[in-house]
Amino acid sequence: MIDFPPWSFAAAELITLVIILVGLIQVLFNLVQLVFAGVALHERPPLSSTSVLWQRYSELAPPIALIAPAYNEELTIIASVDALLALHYPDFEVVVINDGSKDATLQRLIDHYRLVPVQRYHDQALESKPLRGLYAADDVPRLLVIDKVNGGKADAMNAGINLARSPLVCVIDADTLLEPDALIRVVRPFVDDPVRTIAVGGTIRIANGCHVDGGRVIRAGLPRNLLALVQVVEYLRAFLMARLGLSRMGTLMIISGAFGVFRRGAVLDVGGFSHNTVGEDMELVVKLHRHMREQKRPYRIAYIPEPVSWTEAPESLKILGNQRARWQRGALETFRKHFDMFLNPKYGRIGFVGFGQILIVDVLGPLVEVAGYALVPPLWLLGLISFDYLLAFVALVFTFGVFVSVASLVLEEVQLRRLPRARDLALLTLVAVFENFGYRQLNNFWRLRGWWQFARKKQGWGTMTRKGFQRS
Amino acid sequence: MSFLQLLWTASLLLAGIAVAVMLVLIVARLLIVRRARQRRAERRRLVPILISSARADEAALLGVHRDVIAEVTLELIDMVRGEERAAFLSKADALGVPKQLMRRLKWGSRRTRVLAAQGLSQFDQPEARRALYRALEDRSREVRLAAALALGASSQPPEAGELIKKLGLGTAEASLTAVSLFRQIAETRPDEIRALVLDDACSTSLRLVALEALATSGDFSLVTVITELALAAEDSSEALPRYLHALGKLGHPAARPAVLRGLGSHSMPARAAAAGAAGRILLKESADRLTELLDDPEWWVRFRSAESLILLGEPGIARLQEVTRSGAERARAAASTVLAERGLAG
Repeated sequence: MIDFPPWSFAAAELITLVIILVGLIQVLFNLVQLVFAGVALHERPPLSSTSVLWQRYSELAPPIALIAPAYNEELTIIASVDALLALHYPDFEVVVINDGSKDATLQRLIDHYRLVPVQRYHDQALESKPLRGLYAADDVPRLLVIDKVNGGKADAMNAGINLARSPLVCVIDADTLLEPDALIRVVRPFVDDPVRTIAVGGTIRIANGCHVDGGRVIRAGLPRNLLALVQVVEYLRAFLMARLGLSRMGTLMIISGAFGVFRRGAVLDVGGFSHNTVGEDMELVVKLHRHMREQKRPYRIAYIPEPVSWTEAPESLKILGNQRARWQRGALETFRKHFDMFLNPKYGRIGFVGFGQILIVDVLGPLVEVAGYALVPPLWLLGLISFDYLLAFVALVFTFGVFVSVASLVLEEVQLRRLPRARDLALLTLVAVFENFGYRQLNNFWRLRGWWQFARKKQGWGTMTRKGFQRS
Repeated sequence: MSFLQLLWTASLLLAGIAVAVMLVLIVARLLIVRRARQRRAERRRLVPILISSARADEAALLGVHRDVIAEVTLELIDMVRGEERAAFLSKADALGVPKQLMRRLKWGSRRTRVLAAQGLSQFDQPEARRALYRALEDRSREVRLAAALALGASSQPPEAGELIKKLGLGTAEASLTAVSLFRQIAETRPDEIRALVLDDACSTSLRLVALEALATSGDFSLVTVITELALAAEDSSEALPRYLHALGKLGHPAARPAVLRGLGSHSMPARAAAAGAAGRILLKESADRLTELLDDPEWWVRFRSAESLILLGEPGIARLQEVTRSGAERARAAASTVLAERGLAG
């Protein structure tokens, strides 16, 4: 038996305490989010049928420009744009931005829609790479295609927003599958609270395993791939618990770049999407909070669960790992860039709750959990901490994780009921249990990689290879 | 209980709750699926009867649930117009659908009450209207709003004053839906909404909502009033651009003094709105000012000015062409691109 000096016991105790403390704060925060999410779902306006929404809102719904950046999407671009053009909304325009694709994305669009070069007088309020041309067709008056020098997603979205003339812009990924009534549903807060509402996010669900035809999800289903299946539970947790809860608290810090609607004027006021971050969607929302709070203007940034878009989830470890590392990096970049808002009374609950959540979940979360995995077993082996306590604490952390996932499933089932079969609920419950053994640790490892990349100031998105939706 | 025991107990409790809840959910889902299957079968039996010329009350003999009858009849009523709609309404009446909806409006959950109010809008009957009036006092804002919209769609829309009081329009209720409500009322009683615009005692936001509701009505008698309001409004006020928008929508030349004032405003939204209105009312004397505004620092003002110059016809287009040759850089870009966009580039 080794005789350790007394300070080593004190250090081991301190490390364990920090890990437990951060874990407990996370648990507490999750519980609070859960309660707020439950209240928000209970209080939300009753679900109306699309026809009722149309009757009520069609004359009032503000025009929307759909901003769809595309990079090397030649395989899917036509189906995606067809689906966008077929959305049910009174007044909208589809702005596709070919962000310097190296494949035939632009040519496919030109050939299919018989596009011709056009001119359009546009604002140059937001920074973006030079445009190479604009294309439109008389037969498809709702479509405008922008061809520009490659500059990344943020740059492409800025170019699209510059060209848009609608008061609202909806940013999506070119391969996002919007449900036909997604726009008429997502615009609701802009009609119900037109003065204050500046941004609204909708739900993103995993399309893997769904039957997709003509750019639409015809029949929802669960993926067969285990990684994609775990992501279904993760997305439910992220949207139905975290974002809904934070939205209810008035501290929503992110609206996904895959589906969010913004008041164009507000986006221009904050300079649009930033180029120097991979978390440009989160950063835009934080900029909006900052701007509105500094201007002392009443505002609302909300998430509502009913408008749904579907996205393809990565099914390989490599791609998923890159995505998670990138998300982690994005959160850290935003936290660093706007650190002066943290605990700053000038920014009210955003500084305390919003940034507190980023600190606990995004900044410290992976560090502490990985530190726990890495340090606690050696400390136990060296006899510096008790095995009984270690086991009990790990059990509590894992069962709480399962509890939170199950609570998200309850919210989904009671309020939305989008999972088609009862056995899907059972399957997702099992996934919620088993994700704690292996996937959770892997995810933290990826996030730690994101931390490392952040520390080394790595730039860029990396590659995201898409498999393509299963189409009939 | 030691701390260790506490940790284990908490873990077991959380796990137990999670499992129990999921079991309940799964069983509940199985029951829901079964009920939905039954309802679908009932719909399949019901639809042919309602569509055929058979007596409506035969549906009741089939043992179809009242909620299904209400749901299907409302869907059919919504799908057709004219005589067919009248026939479906009469069948729905014979099957007791309005009474069922009234019951649901009184006793249902919030969602049910909203749907019942929407459904009752199809039945322009005194009893249905009375139920909807009662629902204007509902504790839920959504139900009150749905009831108001349903009443607005009836042959006897409620008084604007009553709606303002009960829904808190212009104060607690900021929804644009108020515009729809006022439009519905204005279809039969435009004077009531016009009176709101003229009433100094009303809040500015309420007057603007009323104004917006009337702007598309083509009621030119409002032009003088709105013009006076625009001339009296502070230059930086949020109301000024909305007055100018409304004048643009009405498109009457009597708006001239307000539009000319707006073109010289220091407020960007006001200048842009005035520039847009100038074209719509074909205010030829604004052409010089619009040409100057092609070099405005604000993009929207330049764009609206260029658009309006085109609406002014030959003199406006000639000015734009002149600017493309000798204007300042910003003005030249606006003029040449907008001309090209409209296929008028020389």
